[in-house]
Amino acid sequence: MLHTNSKTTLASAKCGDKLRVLHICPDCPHCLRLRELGFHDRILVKKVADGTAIICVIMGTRIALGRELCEHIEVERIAA
Amino acid sequence: MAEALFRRVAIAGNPNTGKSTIFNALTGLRQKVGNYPGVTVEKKTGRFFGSHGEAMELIDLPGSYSLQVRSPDEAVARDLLLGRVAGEPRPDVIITVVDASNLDRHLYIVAQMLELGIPVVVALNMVDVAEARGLSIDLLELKERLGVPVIPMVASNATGIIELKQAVSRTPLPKPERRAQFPIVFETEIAHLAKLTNAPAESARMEAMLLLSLDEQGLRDANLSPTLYTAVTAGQTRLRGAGIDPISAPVDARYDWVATMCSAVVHRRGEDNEGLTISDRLDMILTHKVWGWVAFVAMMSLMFVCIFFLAEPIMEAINGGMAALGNWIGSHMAEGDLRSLIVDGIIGGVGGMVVFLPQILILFFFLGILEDSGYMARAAFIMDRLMSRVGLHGKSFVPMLSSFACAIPGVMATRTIESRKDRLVTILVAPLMSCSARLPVYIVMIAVMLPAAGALQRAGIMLGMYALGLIAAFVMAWVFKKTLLKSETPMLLLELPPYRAPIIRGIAQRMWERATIFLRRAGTVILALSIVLWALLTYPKPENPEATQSEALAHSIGGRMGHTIEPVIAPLGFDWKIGIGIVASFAAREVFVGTMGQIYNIEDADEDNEELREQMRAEKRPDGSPLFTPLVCLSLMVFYVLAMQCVSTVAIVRRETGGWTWPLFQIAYMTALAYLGSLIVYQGGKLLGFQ
Repeated sequence: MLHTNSKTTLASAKCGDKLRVLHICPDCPHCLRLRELGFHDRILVKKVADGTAIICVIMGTRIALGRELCEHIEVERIAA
Repeated sequence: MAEALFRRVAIAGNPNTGKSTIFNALTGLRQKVGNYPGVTVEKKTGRFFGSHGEAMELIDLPGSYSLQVRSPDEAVARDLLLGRVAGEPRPDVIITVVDASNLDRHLYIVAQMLELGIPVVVALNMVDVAEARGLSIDLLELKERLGVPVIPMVASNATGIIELKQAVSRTPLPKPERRAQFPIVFETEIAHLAKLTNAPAESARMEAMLLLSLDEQGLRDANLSPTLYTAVTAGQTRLRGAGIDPISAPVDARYDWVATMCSAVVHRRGEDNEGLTISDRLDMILTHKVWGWVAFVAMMSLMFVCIFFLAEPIMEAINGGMAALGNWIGSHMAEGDLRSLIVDGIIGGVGGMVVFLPQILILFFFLGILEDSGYMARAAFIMDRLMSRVGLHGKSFVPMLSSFACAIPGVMATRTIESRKDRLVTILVAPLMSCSARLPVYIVMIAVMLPAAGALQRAGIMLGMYALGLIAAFVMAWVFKKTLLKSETPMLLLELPPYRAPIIRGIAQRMWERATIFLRRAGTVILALSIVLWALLTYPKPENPEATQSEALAHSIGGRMGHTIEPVIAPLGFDWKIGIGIVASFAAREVFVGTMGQIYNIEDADEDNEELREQMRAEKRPDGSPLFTPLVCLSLMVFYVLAMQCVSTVAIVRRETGGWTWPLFQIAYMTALAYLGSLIVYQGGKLLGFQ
């Protein structure tokens, strides 16, 4: 069962949470690469490690992202 | 006579998809490494034969996520595919390698390849991994929907290679007709802009599409003509007016196309397995805040201990061979300058370098394992925390780690760094990492410094030298980022590939390549330097035929050079003989050991030569005190850690930075740093009462 729709950024989301991408800023070059790596709207992401940098799993691929970059990714929590 | 080429085939795809494994499987050892004309990026090509023996050239393009490039190596792939590189026609076929276990992400690059108007063959690699994950791929449906040949493969065991050759040899190979559909207004803008670009008809559509997707900075950097710039910005404005973002729309359209395709061709058997994979479990340790560091330090320590233990018997064998060769030549030639040149100059100089080939190979073996297993990306992640403190991100650590083997591949590996300033900073500090050429210097100095030390103690000091280089690199990177190359700390964006068993054959092939390069260097640069050095240390001869060896050396040009620089290096604890070694090794630091051998008249001098060590330990200053005290040995090692003594690295830095400014600056700052470091160690040590 899906849970709450709490909006947050990938940087602030809790480690271990399953998330859905709601929005990525459309025109910054870093975010274009994020999109090309699969971070498009509605995609599911799992945050697996948190620290100075973050590790998340998207479409079966692990990607390490700087915390600042994660602030550009708006997500909603769908499950723990 | 060279065979006529039937086709030029490019191999493209995302990083970590097995591209190089397929390239190696197709070409075997028929490979060559060169450079693209006019650019400084390495070009790896090979030759293979089609199903009817047709000769084809295979071009290994750098791994790339997109044609909308972010780094110099991605730009090379894009430029070659679009025919932008002068003298390099567009390929006739593109083999696009995709990871079958992750089609929903990897088909994105296929979508772009299909837009290029060049025949495409999809190499669906790692079907075994997909199978193990419970994924079933409907190949017929995939071929039908893509409209191009799709070859299922397991490149690691060469499954599918024959079928791939057959697919590439097929005549005719039709151009792809299916591709992701963009909004009609977007297509209209592309068609309009394509007419304004000067690109050839076949690549004009993609060129127009890439221009429309550029952000403001990208447009400024593209150096467009005023007419084209105006047309692009006007097109972007019209698209935005129609509610379409020109940057994200093509990406979204392609991913929609990929999603539709995957829902039709990828079937999951059973429930989606949410359990932890082996990669997940390993990452829980290897990327952990504490255990990640413990594992990293343990792996580095293991590597250095192995360099000592495993290489020793092979080095002894080479050593024995060189000594036997020197003795044999010595016993078959009359005494004189020619014999001295061959035995002392050539065998002593070149032999002294060849002997540490086993250690270099072990180093490359370990680095190959780290890279192939997927750990290198984790090391970059672990190091990101530290690197961000000096203004770089974890990606800069990979070139630095490669520089432990040799600064040349390290400097070339900086091409993956997007920001020019960060790339320059990484290039400037990469040679501070202790490369394999420093090994013989460390080995001989540690042996002279602590003759009774055990292997672990020696490895510990060695690790200390490597740590010093690493710390110096961090400090200098911080200084450069705060001063000369000021810029914001870049944001980390790094794929962590799944852990995989390394393919030993591929690693062996890379070790073979490195060994060939190393031996070629030994046979050219080092040989030439050894001969020059021998002449400098031999001529002019003293007028008194009864002169001692030391007097003859002091009379030679080399000896005079050593005496000239002695006042400058005396505060570091060095005498004129060490000065000769330093001057001689400015072109290649490994020459130092051979030079010491020539100075002390040791045939077949290398770091394992006990006679050389004994001679050095016994060497006295004019006041009768020992020259090579532990403090002098340490000071000398610190000098070698920090000094830039490699012409090949200077040449590669010049090529990569496009001029002499940065390599000259690098030589100057590293020499100053080496002098300062040595001075602090020696004078500080003396003040503290050490000898």
